Amino acid sequence: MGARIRIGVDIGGTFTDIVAYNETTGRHVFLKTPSTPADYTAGMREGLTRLFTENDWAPSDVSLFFHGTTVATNTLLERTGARTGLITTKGFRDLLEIGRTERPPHDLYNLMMDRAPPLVQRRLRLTVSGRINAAGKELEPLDEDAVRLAARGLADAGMEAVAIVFLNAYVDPKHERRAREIVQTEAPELYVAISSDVNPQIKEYERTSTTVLSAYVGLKVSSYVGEVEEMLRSLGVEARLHVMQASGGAMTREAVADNAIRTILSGPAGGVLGAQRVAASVGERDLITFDMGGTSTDVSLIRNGTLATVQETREGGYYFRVPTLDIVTIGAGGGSIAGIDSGGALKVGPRSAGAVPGPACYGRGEAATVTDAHVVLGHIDPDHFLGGEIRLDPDKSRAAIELSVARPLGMSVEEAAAGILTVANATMIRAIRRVSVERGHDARSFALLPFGGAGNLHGAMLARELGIRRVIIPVHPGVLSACGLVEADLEYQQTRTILRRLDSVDGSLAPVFKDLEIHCRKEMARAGHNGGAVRLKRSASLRYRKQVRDVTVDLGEEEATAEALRAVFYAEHERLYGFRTEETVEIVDARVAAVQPLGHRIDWSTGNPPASSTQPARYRSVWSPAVKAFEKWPVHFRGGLPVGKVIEGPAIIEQRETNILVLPGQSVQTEPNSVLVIDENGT
Amino acid sequence: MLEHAPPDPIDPITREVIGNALLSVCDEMSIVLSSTARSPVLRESGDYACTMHDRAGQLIAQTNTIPSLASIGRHAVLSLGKHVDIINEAGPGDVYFTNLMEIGGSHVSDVKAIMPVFHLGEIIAWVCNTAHWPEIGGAFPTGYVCGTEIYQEGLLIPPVRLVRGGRFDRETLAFVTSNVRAPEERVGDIRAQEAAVRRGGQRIIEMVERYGLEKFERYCAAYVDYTETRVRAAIREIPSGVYAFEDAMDNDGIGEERVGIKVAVTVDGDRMHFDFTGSSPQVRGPINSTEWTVWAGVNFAVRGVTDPTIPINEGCYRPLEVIVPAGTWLNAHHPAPRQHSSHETGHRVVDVCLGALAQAVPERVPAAMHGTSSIMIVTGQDERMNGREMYVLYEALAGGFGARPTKDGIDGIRTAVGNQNSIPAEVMEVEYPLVTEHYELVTDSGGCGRFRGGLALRREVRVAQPPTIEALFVSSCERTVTEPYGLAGGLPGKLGQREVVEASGKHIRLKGKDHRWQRGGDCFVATAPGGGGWGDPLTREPAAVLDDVLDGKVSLEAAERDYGVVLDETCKAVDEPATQALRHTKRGAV
Repeated sequence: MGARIRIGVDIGGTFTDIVAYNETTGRHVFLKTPSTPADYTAGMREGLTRLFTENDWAPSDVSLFFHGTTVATNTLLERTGARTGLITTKGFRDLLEIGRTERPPHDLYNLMMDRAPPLVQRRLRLTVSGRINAAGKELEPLDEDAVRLAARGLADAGMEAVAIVFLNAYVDPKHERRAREIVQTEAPELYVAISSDVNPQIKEYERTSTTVLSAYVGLKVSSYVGEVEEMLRSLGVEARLHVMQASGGAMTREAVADNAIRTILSGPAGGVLGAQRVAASVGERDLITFDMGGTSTDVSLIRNGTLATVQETREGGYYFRVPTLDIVTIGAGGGSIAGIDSGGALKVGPRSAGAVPGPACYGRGEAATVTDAHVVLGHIDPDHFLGGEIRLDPDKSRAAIELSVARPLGMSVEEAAAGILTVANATMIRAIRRVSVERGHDARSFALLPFGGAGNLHGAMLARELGIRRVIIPVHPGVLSACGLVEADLEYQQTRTILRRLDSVDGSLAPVFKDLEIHCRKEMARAGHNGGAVRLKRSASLRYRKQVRDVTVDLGEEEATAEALRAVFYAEHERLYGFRTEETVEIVDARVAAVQPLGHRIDWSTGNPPASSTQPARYRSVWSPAVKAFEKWPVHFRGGLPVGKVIEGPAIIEQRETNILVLPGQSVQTEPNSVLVIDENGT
Repeated sequence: MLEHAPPDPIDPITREVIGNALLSVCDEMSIVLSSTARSPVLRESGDYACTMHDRAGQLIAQTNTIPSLASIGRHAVLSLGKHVDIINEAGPGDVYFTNLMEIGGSHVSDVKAIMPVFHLGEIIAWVCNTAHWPEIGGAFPTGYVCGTEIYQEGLLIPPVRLVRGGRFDRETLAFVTSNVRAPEERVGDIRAQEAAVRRGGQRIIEMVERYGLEKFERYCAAYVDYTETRVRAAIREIPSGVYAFEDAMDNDGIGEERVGIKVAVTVDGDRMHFDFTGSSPQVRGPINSTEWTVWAGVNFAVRGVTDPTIPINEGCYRPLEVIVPAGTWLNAHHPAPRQHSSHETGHRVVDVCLGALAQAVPERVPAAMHGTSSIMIVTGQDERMNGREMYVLYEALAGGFGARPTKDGIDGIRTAVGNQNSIPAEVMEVEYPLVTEHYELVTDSGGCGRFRGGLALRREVRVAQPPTIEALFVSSCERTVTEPYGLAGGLPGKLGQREVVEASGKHIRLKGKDHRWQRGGDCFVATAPGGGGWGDPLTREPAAVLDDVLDGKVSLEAAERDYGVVLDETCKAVDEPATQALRHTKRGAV
């Protein structure tokens, strides 16, 4: 019998990261290959072929295959989805275009603002009579002839997909299901999405937008996944294909067809999931993840081992309601450009120098960036950047910062560089506060887990600013997303609106949850899960009667009873907003997530040496903002750090893909599984 | 001579860090308020705003929510902070609630919660939020009475401490709740407003403890100075000169005459001066305004033509001077009625200021927005609930964005000083005995032009109750008589309208500012105004007209009549020769 290999493929705009883990030997390997946007499967095939050859594996050795894809997101952002029509309730033709009619906060005063164009033009939004009220009573029968006419009209107009959304369909899906039947008979070539399947929740605009989006990306994503599967089969890979969802769980290839929309924004999910697994491996259950790239930074929170999710989100101006990790993205990264505004303030980002021309030290452009500030301050060794692949020009960094920051502010180049980092950190702190303090969590009781290329240069500084006492550095910070993929669980979740007083639903609560559970199990079975134990996690959103926003109450695997929900709600409300009352509580939505682990957890250790001496590899001059002078800081190679040995800061730890800064007053040590932990000294 | 150590010079980096933290404080207050409030206006519409002020009441930071309310918070705290007796009596944990006109008031519905923030026994800052209470007593629910005195509109709340030392004051709270309908909902809002200022105060103290009071206050001041520098730099880009414009309100809510509004905007280097002298005298009806409302409109217009990314604080106001003569309707004497004024006046102030500035920076100014909050209210008793609970539907119906010098206006969107969300029909059906029968864009409602004004929305709401049960329909809508202007040869947007369609089928026309008792089964039909057009309609790209016709946004007739565009017999393509000929004739006819 051959090896059992788990493979994760994470396709980004520039590179495709592949991670393979041999379940038999416990060894893992990485492979980076250029992405091929014209046909992503080509680059993937190339990478996999190389992987099999180099490691002498047979494609049939692959036991589990995971894929993280941005196809859905790109389809939306590039507006290359299916030609989509909409059939909706008479009198409600324009919801998709007008939304809730408000302007987004950043455009409040912008007289030249634009709204994202609707995914379905008005001429392709057709309305039909038929009305069911909020209590589920039919007020007017569905005009089936009108549906027939609409279906033919949309097919004749060259549509590929159609969304069907009727008012109050979250209460009773009868009209929508009948309309789907008619469309399928009348125009069987159309891909159909109905709102009572995609998103059976109250609020018609939100449900319409979600359903239309689902139809819009559905065809493209499922045909893409089909191509990936075909490519795998042609290579001889027999393992089932799993695709990452935005919620941080995986779904099977079979589930994708009806749930394509759940892959939108799944890009960062692998990384956050990976972070959760790494933290768990060193016993941390509460952490803030911090993924810093070239142009932006993603921040997310994990509490008690659970990834924070939100039930609605927006991308590129389009709204959709699917479970998504609660990620705050800000426009500050390594390539963010620093400059002085008309009021004399130092600003960093959101403009970025990107990879081309890149920071000034790349020698192709003049923009002073965050990376240049690190070079000037000695945090990055110009001769050893990315393992020496790119040689940096520190003089260019100095010149750029001198010109655009130091001179206008009348300070030294080093002070200006330190200022750039302080301002960039302030922006990131605002993002970290948003996922923590503003959600009722005290950031100081969390650990920080930075990843991405530049994250580790900021982790220690941010932790100190925020009063966070522990920073966790994964073994492979640069490919954490791919690592997260191969440790994903299979997941399916479904939400349904109840919207009733909690004291009036006790009897009917159990059946609703039961229904959701049956539905989830059915979906898991339909998606072809392999019969293993399925865990059911129940949650609900509750609020005081007539309150603005609801509070998500997590029951875990506990049975959902009115008392249990009420008790957790009171506690959560007080934690979030600082008060509780004895008023009537309403339950808005019920939610069930079915989760099934797909494989055991992975030890990513790289085999650090046993305890031995820890002589620095060399010393480097690093700027100290406190004494306003350069000091000698020891530099260590991460791979040579012995397990368990404590190294006092200041120090710089170098690894191929990243540099790690440890500040004076902090110490760092390597865990047995090669994870690095930085702790703040003292009490 | 005594030697004082000079304070450290302002470090622009620390200033940026503190500025970021101040915005976080306001964000957090907003989250608490918007998450916990009860009234549907707050709940689904976001009709609230949070501000943070220094010890003298000067605005230091605010959130991006409803532009009119945030501006009003500034004036409220500035005025309250000047009351010596309040400064003397206030203690830690006290929260004042007020809606008085002289304390930054706009109309009785906008109630502020204001908390002095104490550090070592002295007031070092203030936090404030303003929220629209949909019910505050008065002659009938919602306060949108067309009366002649403010007393008819609702309970006047002088600055009283509903919260003292962190605890609710039972007596004053009872006084308020005994004078409003739906007291439970108001208590919910009061709690939310209190929780928000309390959170803000807590965060400010954390910052003071971190930086030290002296440094914190010095950097707050520096943040304001920095903002002022940016605003002045942006004003300098506008050509100096005097630019005048005038417009009118439909009427005062009682009579039929239009009510004039005039402005002369003087741009002088890095300063701007807005003089409303010449506007009509105070009127009998509820359109009378306060100068704070005028400030809100001015602030919106200035940000719109300068740089909307500049933070909002006292520094934005310093380069501005605003003259609103007392005794005009824009700055009326007590006890003038004002209920319809807050939003409606704010919109018209924006219209005249932008109309004037269009002469200075034509490339930055759109034609008129729909110019009203176009509010429709339905209220009554919900017989589905045990004990017949009171309900208030408060919907601000979106209209059209004005056409821009380079592109069309946006269809069905809230504009200028308002930004409430629409209330979903499905939420309406569950929470009120009301059914939306129609909610769509109105064909041909956008002003014609080279660039078309945005289309308005129409919403029809029926009372799904037996005819034995009464419901009150209330409207607060402007631009039902005076049209939203076009610019550069563009035509005005279409007027708004209000109508009742009774169960019997009988149509009754309402005025823009009006109310009427109806019965179950009757339907309230509201149409908002459209946005003005920009440029000569005969120069609009025929392909753009065709697109609008295919989308049903412009009718075939209007395409020919207003744009001179003729479609061929398929109605799917432009008949080029016929269009050229028709446009030629129309031009000749002018």
